[in-house]
Amino acid sequence: MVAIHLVMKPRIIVVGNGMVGYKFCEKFLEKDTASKYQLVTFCEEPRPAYDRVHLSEYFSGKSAEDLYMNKLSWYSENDIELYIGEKVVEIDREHKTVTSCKGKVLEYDKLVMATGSAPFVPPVPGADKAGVFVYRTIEDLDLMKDYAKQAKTCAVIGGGLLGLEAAKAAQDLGMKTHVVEFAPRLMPRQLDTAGGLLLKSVIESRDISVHLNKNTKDIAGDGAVSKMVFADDSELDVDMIIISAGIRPRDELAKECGLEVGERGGIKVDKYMLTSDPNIFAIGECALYEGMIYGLVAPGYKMADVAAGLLCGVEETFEGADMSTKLKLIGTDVASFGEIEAKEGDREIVINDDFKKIYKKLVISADGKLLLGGILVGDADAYGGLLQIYQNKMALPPEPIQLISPAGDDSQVGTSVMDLPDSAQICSCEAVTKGTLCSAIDDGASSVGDLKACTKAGTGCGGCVPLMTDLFKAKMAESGVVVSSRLCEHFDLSRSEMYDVVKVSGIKTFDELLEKHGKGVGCEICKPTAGSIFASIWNKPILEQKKLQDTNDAFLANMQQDGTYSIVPRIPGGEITPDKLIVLGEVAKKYSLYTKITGGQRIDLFGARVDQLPVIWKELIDAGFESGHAYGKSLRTVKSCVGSAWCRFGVQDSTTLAIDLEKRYRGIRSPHKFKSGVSGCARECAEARSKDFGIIATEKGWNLYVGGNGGMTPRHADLFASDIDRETLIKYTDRFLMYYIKTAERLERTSVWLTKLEGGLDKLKAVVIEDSLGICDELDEQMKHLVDTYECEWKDAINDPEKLKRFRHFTNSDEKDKSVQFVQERDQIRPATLQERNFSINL
Amino acid sequence: MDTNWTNIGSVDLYPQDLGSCVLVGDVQVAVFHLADEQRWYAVQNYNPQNERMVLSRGIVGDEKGTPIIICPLHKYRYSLKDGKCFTDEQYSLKVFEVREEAGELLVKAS
Repeated sequence: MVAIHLVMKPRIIVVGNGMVGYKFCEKFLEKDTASKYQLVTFCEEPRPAYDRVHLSEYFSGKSAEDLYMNKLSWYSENDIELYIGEKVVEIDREHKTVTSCKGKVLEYDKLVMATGSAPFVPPVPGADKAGVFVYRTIEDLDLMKDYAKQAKTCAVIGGGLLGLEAAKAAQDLGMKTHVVEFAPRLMPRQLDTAGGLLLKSVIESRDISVHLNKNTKDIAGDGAVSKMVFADDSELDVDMIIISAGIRPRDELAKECGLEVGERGGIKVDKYMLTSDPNIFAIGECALYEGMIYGLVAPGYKMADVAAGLLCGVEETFEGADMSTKLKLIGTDVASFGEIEAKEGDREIVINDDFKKIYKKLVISADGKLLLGGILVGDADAYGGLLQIYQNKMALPPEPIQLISPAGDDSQVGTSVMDLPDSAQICSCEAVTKGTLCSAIDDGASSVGDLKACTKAGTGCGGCVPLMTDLFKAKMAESGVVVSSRLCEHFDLSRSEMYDVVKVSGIKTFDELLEKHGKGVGCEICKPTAGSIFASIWNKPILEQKKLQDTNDAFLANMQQDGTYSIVPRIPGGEITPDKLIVLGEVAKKYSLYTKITGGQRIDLFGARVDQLPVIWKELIDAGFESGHAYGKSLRTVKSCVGSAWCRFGVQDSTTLAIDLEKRYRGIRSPHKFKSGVSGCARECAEARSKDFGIIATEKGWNLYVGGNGGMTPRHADLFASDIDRETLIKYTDRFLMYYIKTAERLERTSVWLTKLEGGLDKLKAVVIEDSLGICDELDEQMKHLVDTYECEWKDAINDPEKLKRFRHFTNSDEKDKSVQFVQERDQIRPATLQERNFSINL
Repeated sequence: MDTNWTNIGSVDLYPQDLGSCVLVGDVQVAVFHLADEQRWYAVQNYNPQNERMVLSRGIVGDEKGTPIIICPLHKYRYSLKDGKCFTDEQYSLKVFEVREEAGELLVKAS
């Protein structure tokens, strides 16, 4: 056979175009500035290198092209000869040639073996049956996808990192999924016993069964898999199996041409990644360095960098790599680094929260000074900082538990990224240091995205992105970029400033506001804020400015997780006639809606498609209902007890007052939602003190409380006025609400607003009761305008064809959205889970 | 793959500065109008982040001058130009060509 050698430049041939083979090409191009060599690479698979780390995303919507490390055109643009679907079958070291499966023979000057690894399939009888798969390539995934159509139950053999990825993929394919692990715990390489147990319970809570200490003895079935038999004679019925029991280096070519390989496989390399032949390198999962095969992407990239460097005359070395890793498995964070078990004399700190499903462990040297390793399950936010402390051997704080104490604890003292030395490696996949990132910021990188683009940091496993973000923010703050209370990039105004501008200059449209006071097009922050302010001041039906309304306001209903809506008609004070209750039942039945009683004493109807909202509302309005504004940042309900009308303890008629107040303030748009309650006696059955404004009856009149909150940050409302009459109560409430609407920031509840208000409750009393700011006339007038101009938004909408235009799923078809599916539970519907959905996403 | 232009009806059916959803074959396409640029954009209606068909119901805007669509459920931002997600770069949308011709809108997706 005649060797073809037309190019004059010396030639480097890369055998294998996986992630590491690709990375070698990329690194080499960067370093080979004189363009000394011609690069040629052979790729066994039918497509160029792709991101195997994120392979499971192929099942959650990404295409093979989306996963490519770089576009196909990148290779030709950089003058790399790429032979796709062409495996190298022979290396002739004497003549320095390689032969491909298509008979092509090429001479090389230098050869780089990046042949990667193959899944290890244990010698279990029946492993060759139909329905048994491995998980490594896109072809494997395609085969699995096809087979899964007829399979209901799948077992993954191997509870390691890759096995759990595969389990997620199997579950995404709609199968009941089992994980079978030989060891007594999951992820035995990365986790200790307690961490493994916690991960097991998290995974089981996501409907994946975990079987530990199971040695598969036989894969049974007639031609195709039907069950697994274990060494302890227990059995598991399955129709599909994915084997993920580790990897074996692909060293067969190396063996055949006489390169030195390890006893248990792997091409032996030195610290320059050179094999026993000085013209041949080996990198990635096929390389054996000091008895170790590195199955992670970061060490592989480092090897690629070292080999590319040496070829371009830059001497770098590979000295092993730690196996630190952070990833999201089946929706939960898992990270580990360094030593995961304390050796004699070392000390440990462990947080094991079985309620929140969080496990954190630090292994610390006996003298308490050095971090030796750690494990994080359930919450790995601390990983970036901990890894820096570990890698840079930084001093630990006096109480290291603070490094992993739960978020929200103010005493938390993570290491500031600014304290790190410039040499600290922030991104270990791409080996990018803090110094490199800082210079990129100094050179004008203006976002984390920019930083990624120009340094490649954060583009591998992504684990360092939070730390990069911290660094970016800290650098910005350092260089004097002021973080203001401005709403968003489009307006240099806070919400309260925008309110004043709109009111004073009489602006009525967003376009005018943007032209006079903003820039750009707007966004989901400023548009709805402006829409809300227009409504608070001018009180036109909100759909007059459709384009400003987000999510719920846009369709006058509450969008739920599956894209359907819930409907909440107003039931003032929670009082409803039997006839109206029957109407709600009938409507819910007719449209098959799920019904639930809300915390605010009304009835929520769930599961309406967008096109059904107008017809359902037509029926409700005909029966005398009106919008409940559950979708708006506005008054929710005024909850009440039955008060003196029925209750033997009641001292005032709380129900009537609640109904009157709810009708008075219904539909008023505010910075956030607000709630109220009226109790007929001091027993406080309406829980008024947990409301934005709450009223409790006294023998002499009413006590008014303000600034209460339930929810995330509960706060008891403060007593604002005692024993006042109904007229005074309404006057104070009017002013309190208007003053809040005028001065609060976006999404600020009254409780937070009051806490922040300079002068606090006393100031509020002075403004509302004594008119210390001289604005009470304005507040009273504004509230009168809002009360007088109230309209039911739904009544307005169903009579306006223009507003109804958007209430359909497809503009060009009457078909229903097939992705919306329900299942029955306790005699009602609920949204089908992603696993339960029978729908293929076409893109 | 061969893709063809599909007529999705009169421009008047599609509101200004807002999104609409159309069915092309069995693909749900979200079509957006941006008044600022006086032009149309189209991307997949499916949000890969929450796996729901909701993007057409989101709000349109811009991030530093790039036109974006913001998902109504969890506020993830996507570029209308190339489909890239600003909020979490692991996600991206397929972008379709869309054009106006003699008062009708046409999209290239099938």
